[in-house]
Order: sequence, then C-alpha cells, then structure tokens
Amino acid sequence: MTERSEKDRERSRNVTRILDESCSGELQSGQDLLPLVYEELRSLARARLARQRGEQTLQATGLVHEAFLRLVGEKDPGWNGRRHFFGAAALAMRRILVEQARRKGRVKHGGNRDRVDMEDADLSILPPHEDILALDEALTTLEKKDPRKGKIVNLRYFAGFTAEETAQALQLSLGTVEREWRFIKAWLQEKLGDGDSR
Amino acid sequence: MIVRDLSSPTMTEYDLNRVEKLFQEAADLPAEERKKFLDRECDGEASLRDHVERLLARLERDASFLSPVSDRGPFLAAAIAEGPGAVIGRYKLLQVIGEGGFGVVYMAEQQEPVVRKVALKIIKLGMDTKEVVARFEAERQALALMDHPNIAQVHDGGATDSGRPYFVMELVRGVSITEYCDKNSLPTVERLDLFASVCQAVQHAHQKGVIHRDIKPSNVLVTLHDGLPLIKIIDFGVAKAMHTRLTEKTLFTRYEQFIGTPAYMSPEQAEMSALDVDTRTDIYSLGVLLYELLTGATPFHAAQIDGVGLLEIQRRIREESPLRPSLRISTTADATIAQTHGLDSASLSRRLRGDVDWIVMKALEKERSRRYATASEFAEDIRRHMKKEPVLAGPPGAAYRLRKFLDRNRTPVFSAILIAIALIIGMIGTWLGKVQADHNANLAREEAQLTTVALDFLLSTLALSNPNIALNPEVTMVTVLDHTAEKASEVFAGQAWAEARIRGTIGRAYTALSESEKAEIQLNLALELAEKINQNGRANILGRPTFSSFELYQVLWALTNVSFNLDRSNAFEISKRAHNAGMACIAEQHPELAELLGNFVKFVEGGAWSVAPDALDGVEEIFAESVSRSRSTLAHKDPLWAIVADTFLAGGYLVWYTPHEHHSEDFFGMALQIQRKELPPDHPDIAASVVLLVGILNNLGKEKQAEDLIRDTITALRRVHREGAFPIAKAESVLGATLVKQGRFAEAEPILQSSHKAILAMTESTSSWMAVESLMRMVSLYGEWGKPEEGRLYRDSLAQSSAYGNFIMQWKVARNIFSTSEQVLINILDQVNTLCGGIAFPASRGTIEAPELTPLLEQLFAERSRLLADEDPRSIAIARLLIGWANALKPEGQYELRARMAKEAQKILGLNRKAHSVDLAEAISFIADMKRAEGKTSEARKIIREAFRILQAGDPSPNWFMGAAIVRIGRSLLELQLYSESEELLLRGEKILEAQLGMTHNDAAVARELLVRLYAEWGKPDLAEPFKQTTE
Repeated sequence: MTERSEKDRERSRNVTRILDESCSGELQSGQDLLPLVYEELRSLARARLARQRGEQTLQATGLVHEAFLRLVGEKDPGWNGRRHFFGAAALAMRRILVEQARRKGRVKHGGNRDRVDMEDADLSILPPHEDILALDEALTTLEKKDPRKGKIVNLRYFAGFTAEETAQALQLSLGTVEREWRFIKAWLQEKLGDGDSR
Repeated sequence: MIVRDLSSPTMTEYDLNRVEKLFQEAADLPAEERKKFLDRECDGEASLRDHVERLLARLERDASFLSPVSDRGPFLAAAIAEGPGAVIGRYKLLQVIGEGGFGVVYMAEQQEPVVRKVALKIIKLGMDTKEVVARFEAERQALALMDHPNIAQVHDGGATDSGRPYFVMELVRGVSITEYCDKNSLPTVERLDLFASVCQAVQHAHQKGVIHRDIKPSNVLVTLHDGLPLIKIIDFGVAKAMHTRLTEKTLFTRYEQFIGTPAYMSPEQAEMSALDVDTRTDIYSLGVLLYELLTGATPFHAAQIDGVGLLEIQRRIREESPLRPSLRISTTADATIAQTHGLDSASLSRRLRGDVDWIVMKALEKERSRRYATASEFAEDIRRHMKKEPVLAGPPGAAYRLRKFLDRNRTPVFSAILIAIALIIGMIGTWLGKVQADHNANLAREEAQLTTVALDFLLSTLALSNPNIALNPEVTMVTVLDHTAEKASEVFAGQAWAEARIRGTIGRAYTALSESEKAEIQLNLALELAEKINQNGRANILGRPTFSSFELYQVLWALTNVSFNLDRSNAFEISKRAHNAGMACIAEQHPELAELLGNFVKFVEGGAWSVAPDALDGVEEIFAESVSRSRSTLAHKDPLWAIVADTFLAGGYLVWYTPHEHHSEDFFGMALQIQRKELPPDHPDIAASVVLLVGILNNLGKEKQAEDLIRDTITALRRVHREGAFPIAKAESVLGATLVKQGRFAEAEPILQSSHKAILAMTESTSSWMAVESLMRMVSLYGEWGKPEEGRLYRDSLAQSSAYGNFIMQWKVARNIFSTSEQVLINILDQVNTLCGGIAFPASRGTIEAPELTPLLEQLFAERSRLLADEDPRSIAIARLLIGWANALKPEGQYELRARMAKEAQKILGLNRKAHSVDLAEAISFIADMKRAEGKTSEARKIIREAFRILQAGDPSPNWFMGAAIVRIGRSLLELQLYSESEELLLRGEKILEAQLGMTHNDAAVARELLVRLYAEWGKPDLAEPFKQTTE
C-alpha cells in the first residue's frame, strides 16, 4: 500500500494533467479520464481486499473518494476538476459494479469458476442495489430520454454525492435536484417493478 | 437473474417530460387534491393518468430505494434491514425524516424504559465505527450533564448490527433558524434576540465541557412551543464523535474537507493541521450563523468558495476578512434579503452599521483570542446593543484601526511591536473585564475612554515611525518605545494606574530588546507608581485596581534581568524581591508549591558559591520534587507557570560560573521546557532561554546537542524576524561559539563575522555586554584556529572595552584575551579571582577578606610584566580587574593590600591618563585611603588631590559606572575633609547616576546621603536640604 508502483504514479500524473486541461470546460463525458479512473478503482479495490481479507466488503463511495485522493491528492483541481473527476468516477464505478454483477451471475449460474481470475473474484465491492444489472438497464433507458437524469443518478448513487453536492456538481439548484430525484426514484422503481407493485 | 419487463407500453408511449410535469405538479399538491388535478389534466388519457398515479404511489413507499450507496452500509443482509420497521437496540425505526451527507435520520420509537418517539441518526460508513462509538462513549458523561431547554438531549449512541454508528436524540420537529426567520420575516431585533438565546444554550454546553464543532443552521432548529419560538440545538456531541483528529487525514475528514461546505468552519478547523479545537471554534461558527441571519448569506458564500481549490478555500477562511454585514447588504443587488427583515436595503444596512457590524466581526476574528471569550459574552454584547449600551466589541475606532494596521503588517519583523502592543491592550482589556464584572458602569465607561486614548496614542506613535518600520524594524521598535516612554506621563496624566502599566510594559519590551539601561528606568518608574497605587488603592472605595502580585512580579523579574545585565550593586537584592514577589503570588493559591520552590532557590543559593564539591548534593531531589509538584498543581496555561520557569532560570543563574554550573543545564532545560509549553511559540523568553541553555551546553562540552538546539531556534526566529535582526544575531553568535568548540572554524567564521557586525550595529558601543560577548567569540575563534593575526584586532578591542561596571563580564574578558602560551597567567588570575570572592558577586563587594592574597599578587605582577608590556591592551584589562578586586575587598585591615593592587594598576593606566581618567583616579584613591588609615593625612590629601586633577582633566563618558566611581572618589575626598573637591565630585556623580538610573536607584541614593553628610560636616546644612528631601 505504501509502495506505489511507477504505473500508479503515471496514472496520477495523467489524471492531474487531464483535470488541469478540463478545468475551464464543462463536465464532459469523461472519455479521457474514464479508463484511468476505472483502472485505479480496480487496483485500489484489489489492494484493499488483499489487506483486509474477509473482514469487510468494500464500499463503492469510499473507493471513489480514495481514488480521488490517490490520483489527485494534494493538487486540488478546483470544483470544475472535481466535477469532472467524480463524473468519470461515478461512471467507472457503475461499469465495475455491472461487470462484477455479470461475473457473479455467471458463477452463480454454473459458469466456469476456473475461468474467473481469483483476484477479480475477490473484488466484491458492495453492490448498491440487489439487481444492479436491471437497474443499469433501466437507467440506460432513462438516460436516453433525459441525459441529465442519468448524471444525477450516477453522482447521487454511484459516487455517493448528497443532493447538495450533486446540485453543485451539475450546477443545478438544490430544489431541481431534489424534485428530479423523487421523480427518478419513482420512475425507476416503477420500471423495475419490484415485488409489491403488483 | 430475472429480466424485467422493459417493454411495457406505458413506459414508452408518453413523453417523459410530460409525465414528469404532471407528476411533479401533482406531488406538490396535498394527496386529496391530486385526484382532482389528474382528472382535469389527463382527461381522456386514462393510461397516462394511470401511469402517473402509479408513479405517485411510489413517492412515499420506499425511502431506502436508491439511497446513496454509502448510506446503506456494507453489503450485508443486515444493512438492508435498517429501514423503517427495523429494530436497533431499544428503538424501532418508524420513518425517514431527513437525510444528508452524514446519513439518514429516522423517527423511531423507544420501547423501554419509557415509550417515546426519538430521532435516530444512522451515520453513513466511511470511518471507523469502533472509534466513533468509543469517542461517543467518552463524551457521554459530559453530554448527560447538559440540561438546557434549548439543547436537544442526546440519549444514546452505539453501533447497528451492520456496524454503522448511530445516535439517539430528542425528537425535534422544527425548521432551521434561518428558514424560520426568513419565512416569518422576523425583524432584526427579534433575530438578535433569538440568536442570543442560541448563545446562551451554547454557553451552557461549554460550561459542561461540550463543544459542538458543527454549528450551522440545520443544527439550530426552531420549534413552536405554546405559539412561541423555541430554539433547539441538535447534534451536540455528534460532531466530536464523528470527526477523527484532522491530522490523521482519514478518508472521511478529507472527504468532508473537499466536498462539505466549509462556510461554517472556523479558520483553525479549516487548517488541517490544527490539533486543538476549543470553545472559540463554536464562537466563530455562531458568528457565521449570525452573519447569515442578518445578511442572508454566509461570510464566504458558496459562489466565492465554489470553483476554487481546497487550498484556496482554506486560505480565504484563514486570511480574508469578510465584508461587514452592513456593507454586504448595501452592496448586494438582492433586495429580498432586506425584505425578510421588513426593511429596504438602505435601512437594513444602516441598522447593522456600527455595533452589529462590530459584534459580528469580533466573533469572526481569525485569531481566536480576539473573538469573544465565551458564548455568554457574545450574548451579553448583543443584549448590550439592544439596550443601547456601549458594546464590548467597540468602540471600534482606535482598536479596530490598530488591529487592521497590525493585520496589514503581519510580517515577521513586527513581532516585537506586537508583543508590546498586545501587552498594553491586554492589560487594559483584562482590567476592563474586571471592572465590568463588578458592574461598575461609570468606571467602565471612564476606562473605556482611557483605552481609546491609549490606542490612539499608540497609533499615532506607529504612524510616526511607519515609514522606517520596513527599513530598520529594530531601531524603529526602540523608537516607538522611546516615544511612548517620553509621552507616557503627559498622556496618562492623572491615570497613575495606566501609566504604571504602560511603563511596566515598555520596560519589559526594552528588556526583551536587550535595551537594559532604558528598561531599568522605565521599570523603576513603574515600580514606584505601583507602590503608590497599591497604598492608595486599599483606601479607595471605588475599588480602583491595585497592582496584582503577579504584575508586580513581572516588573521585578524584568528588573532583575536588567540589573544583572548591568551588574548593578543592588541586583541581588532586586532578584530577592522578585523571587519573594513570585513566591507570594504562587502562595496566594498554592502555598505548598511556593514553599517548595522557595526551598529550591534557598538550597541552590546556599551551595552555589561554595567550592566544596558536595555543596549542592541533594539539589536534584529538591529540583525533581519542585518540578513534579508544579506539574500536579498547575493546569496548562496557568499564568503561574511563568514564575515557575523563572524560578528555575534563577536557579541556573545562581550556579552559572560557579563550581556547580553543570546543574544549570537541568534548570535552564526545565525552564525552557515549561516556556515552550506555556508561552506562545514566538515569545522572546523562549529564544532567550535557548541561548542560555546553549551557552551552558557549550561549557559542558555538549556542543553537538547545543548545535541542534540553537539551529532549531534560529530556524524558528527566521520565521518571525528578518535576516540580521537582533535576536537572530544573538542566536547566531551562540551558534558560532558552538562551532568553534567543535573545531569547525571555517564554518564558524562567516556566521560569527556577520552576527558580530549585526550586534555592533545594534548596540551603541563595544562596551555593551552583547558586544563584549560577541568580541570574545571572535577572539576565541581566531585564537583556537591558530590565526592570532586575524584575531589581534578583536582581542585588543576587547581588552580595552570598558566593561568596567560589569565585573562578571570583565572577568570573562580577561579569561578570553590570553592564549594558551600564557596559561601561567590565566592560572594565577583564576586563583586571585577565587580569593577575591569568585567573580565579585555584587553582594560581596567590600566584604571579602583575603589574607593569603599577597604572595599570589607578587607572582601575578611578575608574570604580567614578563609576558606583557605595560602598554599592551591586555595589561589594561588586568589593571581594571585589579581595581575591581580591590573594590571587592573589605577596606578595614586590608588598606595596604588594596593600595598594592592600585599601584600596579596605576603603573599601567598612568600611561594614558586622559583615556583612563576614572579608573586611574579610583586606583589613586585606594592609595590615599591607605595613607589616611595610617594617619598620614597630609600625604593622603596630596595624593587624592592628584586623583581629583586627573578626573578633571579627563573626559569620561557619563555612564552610570563612571558616576559610581566618581562618587567613590568623592567619598575618599570627604573622608579627608576636602569638602569643596568632594562636593564637586559628589554632585557630578549624583547627577550622572540620577540621569542614568533614576532618582530612586540605590546608587543615586547613596550619593545623596553622602552629600547630606558632606554639608553637615562642612557647616552648610542649608545646602543639604534638597538632597535630604529626596532621601526621605
């Protein structure tokens, strides 16, 4: 943990550079940043699990913030940089969780256990929702209709932002975020049609 | 995996925007009106209506659905159970009543011992639950003690089965104070009133030892109680349990730091390295809250803080002054803020200008020592404002301008001025507090005016010297003090109390700057005034302040340092007075500790001068006991620690340059340790103690340790002072000496050269003790380096420097100017010195009997003339030593011995009668004394007349030791009934002494007594009158 590989440092430098460049821009799709953050989150999760095997499952939000500290660290990139970072991180986290759920599904349903990399099998970040795959699908539908709603869910849900932080990150008023959020929750619940909706 | 029905027609048929619009509008309506609304809006679109209705039905159903990941705990089955209906400990969760960055708050039902509804707050993960619970447990006792109607009780806390910390609190149904005020358009005065009760509640918590640490609107709620607003502060104890120490830089704190709103954070909280957060942090947050209540925005509002980096946010909180509330109002374009007060912007701005501005700004001070000391003081000031009484935070004129002036000039070079001014303001402030506590309003007002006068005066002084400050700060500091000293009696006419304190302060500031002679005058004046005040004060029914024993002690201790620096004949007496005053001060509260410390000093004093090696056996035990008793008796930051530290310093001084000097390492070391703990880090006493300790470590051969210590101190001093400043030069000089001791000459040379230059530039002549000490270091550098040629100039200058009055220094000089090839001479000098009372401690003057001195003297004279020419500057140093030793000897029975020493000195000093007139004349007076004792009066008269002529031909600098010598020669003339000559010298000497030392000084008093005696014997009693009066 204390020893950081050259690869880690390289990643950190690239992130810092991208954030610097993005500082004046809008919150972007995060294409440039996404792979870096994705890698960092995975390697972080592995390192953490190796250390505290069996004790605790990992928490998605914790990982996202730790990734921020490791990649960006002392050089705080300002709010724009942070928005950029967390936007990408939320997306990366969502992707990791979906992959993890897919893998677990394969294992559960008799998939070939031997084919799964042991390290990746251990990478059990706590899924924030029981059925992450269904959620992801529903979310994708929603995003297509209204991309902003997708961003709200990504930040609120996958990066663990509060309503206030989400509002700041998307430059919306708190009221807007709160109102949209109640709609999103109702809409997604309805879409997922959980047990008691009949 | 179950594949959901993603192709349900209702989901795709309708435009999402339309669905949402209907949903939102309906959701805003009360449930019973929704049906009607949808009937109207979805006329003929049954499936659309059905869809929206189903969405609406979801609205209240599952609060935990999609709640942010971290709120849901680790992925364990138990985590999911913690929704409504779950049971945690004795509590059953009912419904979610709030959620935020911290976690979720549920309304819960407690079953036993009483059935009641409570608020249960479950904290999101991200920190160590065990630690949080442990911290909460530690705080529990204190929380239980809080019992205040405006504080929501914290009932319980623990960890849920899924390992998340939770807190159980009194259930408060209310809105935030800001929301309450704005929604009800509360006028300013009602806002202030409401806020004052918040302060009182916080005060209650502080008294029980609980700091909130997270005061913000959402934690200060207003509920209606019998139709009246009632404040409820929630979350006491929660923040402390949740925040790990900032230095640990845990994920959580970092997360809070960069995501959380720092708007309510005090500068010391914003500074991540800050360790101690105290009650004044809450005062700051209260200030932010009041600011927001008045202006509708926090001092650094979101727009200012967003879009900048974390470091920038920290910097702003630490450094930038927010706009005054009135200015914020008058510069904002938003008229609705004033409307919430029921006013227009201009009226609201006027309403806030003045008192309210100052009250808010005082609470928001960056330096917490400048904020209100307590929440009730804050509340009191608001009440005072509402009653139209003068507020503590004002009158702002001078104090405010001064503070701003200092803020603007907070560069390192200002440390000395800051100390002096802080002392002056501090003392007036302290006393004002005292008076106000006595509810003596008249006196308070009168003295508040005095404060203004004092500050205005200081300001004008500062303005006067302002242009030079940046150029030559040290000189300017002295200039400021000189000016203050000069004007003090004029400005504080009729305010003896203030004058005494100002003079005491100036005296102490001069002391810190090594301006000993100026310090002495001011300190003596302060002492004189203080004695008068204390006499009158007892009879004063108004309860005018007297000098406390602590203040008296401070003046006396400074005077002690100064007196030893100047080698005053009464230095020892003053040190005893200071010591007694210090012990008396401690004894007022802790008699046993005072007794122990007193015994320590007595013990050291008793053994220090003895040459017996076991004379100080047992001192370690007494010392250790004094230390441990002090620690068990005095709390951190108790002002009495200063006296304890000084007592140990005194112990160190007592053994310094004695056979037992190794003990001073412990004594100085302990004093330093105490000062480091109890004084502000840049306090000049700390550097002074380090210089002492390093000096002794050098002597004890612990150069490496000495070097580390002094280098650290220099680094610290550099942060405060500019390069080449006096305190740095002093410390570098000691560092140079340390390097010389280690044989690192080449390294030492540039350091000593530059510090020597700086010291010479600061002190007026080569005779000041700092200059002499520095010269000695130059001499030893080149001496030990084996470069006598480079060192010769310094050596000669040292030998001739007239460190006459300071025998300790003179002796050090003599030891310094000889090289190892002259070791014989050094050995003899050592022995003579020991016989003449060691280093001729002032108290032993004129009392030493040394019958075995004669053969040694012969040896000395022989070696001296063998090694040194009479005109060698080093011979002059020896001649001066001889006069000093002769002064130490008891005259009775030793007249001849004294004369023998005087004759040798005369031989050397006679070569330049003009330059050494006073020394030479004094030497000759010893010869005359001998003749008189032998009954050879006429011969004695002839000799003393010669001394008189030499004195008249010479042109001695009018310093005090010259004055004292002139008085001594006058006394010899008086003994021989040469009245007119005696009169001339006594008058001349008295004048010098009075000017240099002040009327009250012992030496000046001695001169006046001699004058009275002279005129009585002379048959001119009338002339004695002026001297008699002042003698009384």
